[in-house]
Amino acid sequence: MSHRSISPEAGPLPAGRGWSRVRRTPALLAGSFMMLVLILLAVFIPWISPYDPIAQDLSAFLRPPSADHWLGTDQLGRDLFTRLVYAARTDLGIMVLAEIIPFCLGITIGMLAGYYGGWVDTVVSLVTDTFIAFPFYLIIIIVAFASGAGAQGIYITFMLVGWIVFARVSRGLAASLKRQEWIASAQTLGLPGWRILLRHLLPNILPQAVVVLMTDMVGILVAIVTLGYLGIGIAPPTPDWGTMIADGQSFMTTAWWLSAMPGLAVVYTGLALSLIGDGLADLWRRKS
Amino acid sequence: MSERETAAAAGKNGAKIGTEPRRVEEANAVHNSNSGTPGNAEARPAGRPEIPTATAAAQVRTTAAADPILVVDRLTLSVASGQNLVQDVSFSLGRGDSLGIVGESGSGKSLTLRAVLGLLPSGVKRTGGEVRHTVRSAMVFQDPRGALDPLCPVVKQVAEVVRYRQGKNRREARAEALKLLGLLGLPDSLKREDRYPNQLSGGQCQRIVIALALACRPDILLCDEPTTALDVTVQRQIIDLIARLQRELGFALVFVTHNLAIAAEVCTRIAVMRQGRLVEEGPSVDVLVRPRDPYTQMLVEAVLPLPEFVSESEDRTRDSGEGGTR
Repeated sequence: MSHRSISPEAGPLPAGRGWSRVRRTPALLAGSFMMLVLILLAVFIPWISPYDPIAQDLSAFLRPPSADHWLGTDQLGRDLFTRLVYAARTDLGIMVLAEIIPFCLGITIGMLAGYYGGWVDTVVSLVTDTFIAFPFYLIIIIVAFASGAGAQGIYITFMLVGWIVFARVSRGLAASLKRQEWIASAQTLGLPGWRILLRHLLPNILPQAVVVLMTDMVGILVAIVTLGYLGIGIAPPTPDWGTMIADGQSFMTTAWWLSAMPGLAVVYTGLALSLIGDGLADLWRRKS
Repeated sequence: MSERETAAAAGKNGAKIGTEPRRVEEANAVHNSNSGTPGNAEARPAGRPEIPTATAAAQVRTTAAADPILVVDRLTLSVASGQNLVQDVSFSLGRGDSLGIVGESGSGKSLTLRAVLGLLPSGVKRTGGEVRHTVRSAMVFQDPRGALDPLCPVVKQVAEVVRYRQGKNRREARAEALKLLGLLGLPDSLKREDRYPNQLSGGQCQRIVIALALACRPDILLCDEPTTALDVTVQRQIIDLIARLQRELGFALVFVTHNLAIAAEVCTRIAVMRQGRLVEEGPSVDVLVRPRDPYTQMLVEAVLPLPEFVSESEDRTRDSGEGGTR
């Protein structure tokens, strides 16, 4: 703990920094732990499981959960647990990749629009409002059909519309922060505009944007799974939670776990991301 | 430093002419209402007729400093609806001068100050007059915590301004910033670890804000009610600090406050504003002891009973004259 200053106007005790503050945010801890387990599994699955996610073994189809097959096997005799974890690789990979560029782009656009205002702001607001009004799933299905099955449809769609949510959030934040005294102060102190934007405005916007990112990732994940379920997402035999849910449907009465487990995996990931988002929001709120 | 002279307009104030301060030093005191400001060849609107307005708050003609570094000339600020928030405010400031602008909330004193920096809030426009200054200025804000980036360590904020305003590299800038913090009486603990604004007290934050302003090496320091958000004891420290810095560094000072006593203590001249107009301007002691405008009288009586004030003011002038941290 840092010592208190000896000045007669001693400040409040410094708030806990870094780890000690994270430790007091159970939501963040729980979410991170859940995510970590998933990521570790996805990374080390080739060493954890002796099974191949794609090779079929028709002699062992639709086995119930057992010591050999933790979650049983599917209609083509493939180990369900192994496929679930490989599907996490596919789906989480796409989720992260599809989000990186829209995240950076959206923050940049929103920050510039909010800070400088004027016609840039008008145009950005117009575009974001228009896209918000357009049904997201309609766009993604159109693009998925146009670009053929696979991940590229998701990437293209998110490049087109994913930035909007971040642009909206950072535009609003930048516009309200702009009116705060310390931005005016930085301007009168003669700091260059790019420096105010990058070193002062951005750090104040980023926390909120990251919270939104976590929520948005859940949305993307659900979109990926939905496309897979509809048969216009990841093409089989690549494991993907959406196609797995769809495939398992025909065996719902005899092997319910085939659809339920991928569904639970989606819920698990969504929960982990939401917890991280909530925890981060909590952390920033307490800091300021 | 140039002395200044005030001249009352006619009207109600005429009766007080006998008692008003008339320290006329015509050698360097120039009326700026008609004759123009020395050293400035810019075109000016034609001189106004010398007809006093009919209002009780008659036009106050202020005097120009001999070699002004800041001239506010008949500044008028308005909102879109046409209402004037500040009207016909004129004053000037020489090198090392100090001017206190006093007035109630909404009198336009802060707006006037912000107009000098070009920091007018959106919706307020300058519709008349002008502000001329050729030197560097920096501002000390009313809410010290609000004037600092909450997510940036304070030393870094000061060093950043040093770096960009004084053209130094990172390491020099940090050293210079720490030196500034030392000058402002901030504890050494700031040097050893990163502190954020919310870990400092209001007084410490205000010192940081002053450090930021000083990092610009300003010739004019504009203070916008720098003590209003602080505890009374801390107010005193900050006022002493600003007064000491002004003596040591020799910058000119414009000090906006609603507290007549503070203005008198820090500044050699006082301007009183009311409802967007300058109602009185003159040497601090004169304004306090022999206020001409009824509003100023009211202010003086409200703040300090006159008999006690006289002795107190002498004490204070002596204190600050000795360079007094108490």
